[in-house]
Amino acid sequence: MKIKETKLHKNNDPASILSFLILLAWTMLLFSLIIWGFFSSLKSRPEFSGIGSYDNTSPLAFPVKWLWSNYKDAFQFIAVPVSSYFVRFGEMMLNSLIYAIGCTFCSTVSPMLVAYACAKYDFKLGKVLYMIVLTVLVIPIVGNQASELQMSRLLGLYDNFLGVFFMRAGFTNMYFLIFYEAFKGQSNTYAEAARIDGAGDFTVFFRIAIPLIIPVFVGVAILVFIDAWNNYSVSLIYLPSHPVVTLGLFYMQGNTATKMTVPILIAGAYIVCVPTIVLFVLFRDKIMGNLSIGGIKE
Amino acid sequence: MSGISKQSDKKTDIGKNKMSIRSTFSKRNIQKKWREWMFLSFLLIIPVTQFILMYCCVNINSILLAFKRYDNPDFVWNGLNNFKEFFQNITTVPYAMRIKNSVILYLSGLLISTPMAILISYVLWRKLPGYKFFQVVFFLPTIISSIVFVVLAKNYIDRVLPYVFNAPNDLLQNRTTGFQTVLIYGILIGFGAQIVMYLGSLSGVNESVVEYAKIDGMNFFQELIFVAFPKMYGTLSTYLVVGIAGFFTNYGQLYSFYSWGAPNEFQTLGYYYFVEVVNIGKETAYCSASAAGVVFTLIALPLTIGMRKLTYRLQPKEE
Repeated sequence: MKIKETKLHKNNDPASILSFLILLAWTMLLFSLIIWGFFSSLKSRPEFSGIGSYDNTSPLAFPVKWLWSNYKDAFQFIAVPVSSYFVRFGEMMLNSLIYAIGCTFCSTVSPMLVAYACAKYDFKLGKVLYMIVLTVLVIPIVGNQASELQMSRLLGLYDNFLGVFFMRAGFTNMYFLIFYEAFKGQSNTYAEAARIDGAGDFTVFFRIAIPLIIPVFVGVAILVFIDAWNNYSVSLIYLPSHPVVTLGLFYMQGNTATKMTVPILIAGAYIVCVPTIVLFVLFRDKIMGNLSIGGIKE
Repeated sequence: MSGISKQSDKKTDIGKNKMSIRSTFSKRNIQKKWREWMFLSFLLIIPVTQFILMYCCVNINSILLAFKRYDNPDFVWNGLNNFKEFFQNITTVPYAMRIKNSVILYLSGLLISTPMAILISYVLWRKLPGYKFFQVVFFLPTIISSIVFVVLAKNYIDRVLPYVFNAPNDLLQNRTTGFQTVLIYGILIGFGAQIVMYLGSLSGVNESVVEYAKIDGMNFFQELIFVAFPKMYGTLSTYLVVGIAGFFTNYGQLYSFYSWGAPNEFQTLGYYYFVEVVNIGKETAYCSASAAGVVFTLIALPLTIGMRKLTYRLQPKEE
């Protein structure tokens, strides 16, 4: 016999109904933007702009001719000038992939390594590092962008992928706390049994600690990848010779030249969304899992 | 004689055994400690080096830059002149406008986005019909790049709003409506990430507490205040504490919409200094931007500590 789950809330009070209507209105606004954008991406430039024979055409109308070729044209027309040549959409996608994968690795592994050292080993530097993380998270530092840019040039980190990956390999962020709690919660039984069998620190770390933390690692890595893929400001500032695809969109949306049409730009925007939407569909529960950053206690 | 020597030999042998046990033990201990430090060095060398270079050195350099000026190709000592220039600039009309816009941006986040995120999180936690669908929808702006939404929104505002609502077709370009338009856009798009965090906090509410609230006859708002809000308070306090520095650095969606060409009337402090460093002045702007950063940090630091103490004092008890 199937047991029916009892609802804790009936949601039939006026406040709940009003809330539902507000949520519905917001959802419809967002969806209208996305759906309008999709149909606009299939129009020609005159049709989209309502000029020539398309004068007085409603911007909400369906495309007269469905130009799926706009998605192919995005690879040709979306480009960013770098020195004496143009970096096209395809190369920008590759740059985005390299940047996102490298950033994901560095931004996830670095706090994980430090969190493991602090959680599993009792040494003074570990306590200092933990306090450093808490202090950095709370103390605001404003206006050091200029200095960071200057230092990146001085240290040879500017305008190369490895340099930017090093700059992203910090541990003073929320992910350290997530990994720290995860390692603290791990039972020491497996590690102790392994040490009795003669396993050293490296063996315990790679063959026991890491496999146990993979779900947390994957969850954090997915969030970092999505953030890195979507980010254009880092490429704008630190990787000017290796523009990423979101930087391409940013550059073109302020520069609609004669060859460039807005529908092609919108088509390019939808292509950019594909990897993150695929990741979201595959790992929805991990991405929207129980995240809580808690309070900062005395 | 040989017996005594043997005896003595035995003593010496025993002595030798004692010494070898001791030395073996300490040697093993030292080797163990050495291996442990090798392993810890492997774990920590890159992250700690990164921290020293990209946090400590960067911030020390930022303070030094605040007292220098750029004299191609070097940075030369300039004393307190950058700070004098900063305090002269803040009395000008364009700068006052940037401060005003920064206040509006900060307050819109504090008084509109945050309460909306709390309310929507609470409503979704109550499992309103279609709550799973709404959760996904609110999370979309977090997984899709902000520039994608800006590309769509810019053209939507220019083409669709005038057609459907008879709105002016220069909402973004007009100096009286541009900033407000970008602000409203930012509010509508921006609170998805907060909702996910608050929902995470609410997942810790015990079902028996909710049932007890039902029996007690708590209505929608009473349950929000006495059951849900205490659980969300930790996350809220973190946002409030961290958000203080955002007053000086935040530029919302301004750069995405206008690149480096936002009119003075739209600019915030964060936008102004970001553009100065990244786009226009390059090295010539580094020193004045660093001086401003030092002043802003000195203002933000006590405010952040004060906010932390205040949020701790006002923490609701979970009874």
